Amino acid sequence: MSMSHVDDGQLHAYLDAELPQAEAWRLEAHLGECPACRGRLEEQRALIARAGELLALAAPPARDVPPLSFRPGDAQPPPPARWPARLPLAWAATVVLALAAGWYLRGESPIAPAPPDRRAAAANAAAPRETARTVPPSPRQAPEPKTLAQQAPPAGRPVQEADEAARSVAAAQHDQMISGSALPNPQMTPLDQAARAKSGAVPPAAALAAPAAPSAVRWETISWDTARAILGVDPARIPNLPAVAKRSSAADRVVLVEQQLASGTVVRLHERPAAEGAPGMEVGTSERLARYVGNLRVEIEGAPPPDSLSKLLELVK
Amino acid sequence: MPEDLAEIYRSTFPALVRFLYRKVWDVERAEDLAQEAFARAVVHKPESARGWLFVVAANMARDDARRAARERRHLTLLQSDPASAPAVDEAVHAETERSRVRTALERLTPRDREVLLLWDAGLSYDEIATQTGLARGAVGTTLVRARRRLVEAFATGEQDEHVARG
Repeated sequence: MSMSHVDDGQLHAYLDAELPQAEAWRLEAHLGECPACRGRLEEQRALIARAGELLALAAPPARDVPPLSFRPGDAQPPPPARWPARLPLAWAATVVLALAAGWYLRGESPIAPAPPDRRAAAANAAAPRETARTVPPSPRQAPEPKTLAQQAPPAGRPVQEADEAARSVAAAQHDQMISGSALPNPQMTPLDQAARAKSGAVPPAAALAAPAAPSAVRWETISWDTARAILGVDPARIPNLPAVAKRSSAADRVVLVEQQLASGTVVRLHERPAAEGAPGMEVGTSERLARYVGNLRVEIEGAPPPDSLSKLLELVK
Repeated sequence: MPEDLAEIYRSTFPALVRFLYRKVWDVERAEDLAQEAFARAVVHKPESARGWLFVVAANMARDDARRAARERRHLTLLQSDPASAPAVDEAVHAETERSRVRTALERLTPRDREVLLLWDAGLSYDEIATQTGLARGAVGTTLVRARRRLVEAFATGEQDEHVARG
């Protein structure tokens, strides 16, 4: 074989489109004047095609890409069908924890010079039971994936539409988690953890608001003094954020604090005098989420903005 | 970086499953392993995630194969396999072909097989070189040998079966 002939390795690299450009030109120039190498080129082309055919025979059956169904730190991926519920829940947890953290700061807030009250004590009592980043699936939601799985083919794969929906949510969630865990400010970390513990400690009874008919209740705006008079303490709220206090009627002792984030997301805090327990479910829209923290019922409405976590933590600070 | 990984997940997952399938020969197991590889990538945030994924996946598949072999040995002690139920002809044919290719792949040297499977999973020569430690120029030569042996071993397997059938 003369120096100018090409070896099979080069031919394969050439046919695989992996030969560097300069070498490819040299090889083509040689092929142009060497029938023997042209013949070998065709042989190798056939070999590559045949090998590809055989590998294709041993390919796994084509299936859809499952959603990215795990979180950092998971040893085993959880069932994919759990994803659709996670984003809103995790975000609700974020707000809940922002609030919980806000309670600690209430003592220093200008409108709330009062000493730690029962609610704060309740928040403390709800000690870290679980440090998972995401709120555990509520009882209401847990059965849903199961139902999907039952309808699925015997192989037990998640239903395709669920996958489809989950995929985008999963990607968004995934990104959010990373940005949340990579907060540059070291002061955020203890806060984040305290808050995480709080959200994890939310009793399992705390459930999503059921999608229901639009509310018939009319809320009238009241002064902070009136709100304070009803509750006996300052109403809970996210500090440093515009807030409006409301009530449904003079007879009802539930105070609603509405706060709108820059993103358009509305956070609603329903509160009753501590002795009377948490306010009940209010009929609401399907986008609305609700959770309980101590006596407080928290609702969130609207799509959470991507930078919500850091933004909220900043607000709380 | 996280967005990168999410994008890599969408684009690489099927290739990773295909790669793993040729090692564990069970699609659900292959998917589980692929997901676990991605889960580890989320934690470790490797610099070149794609290549890293294939290395980690290959290691996991090897561990998995060892474990599966142990379990198989254990099972054969407990039960003898009853005659398997007759299946549809087409499925049988596809399964026969698959197992022939599998047998042929097993005749390759581990390195040749690895390079061939990585190429088939969509990795470039550069990526294959990085992951296997081969010189880039040796990737083409390795692929020539791997492809030739695969085709020959498959053909030999077919002949043997014809001979055996008489």
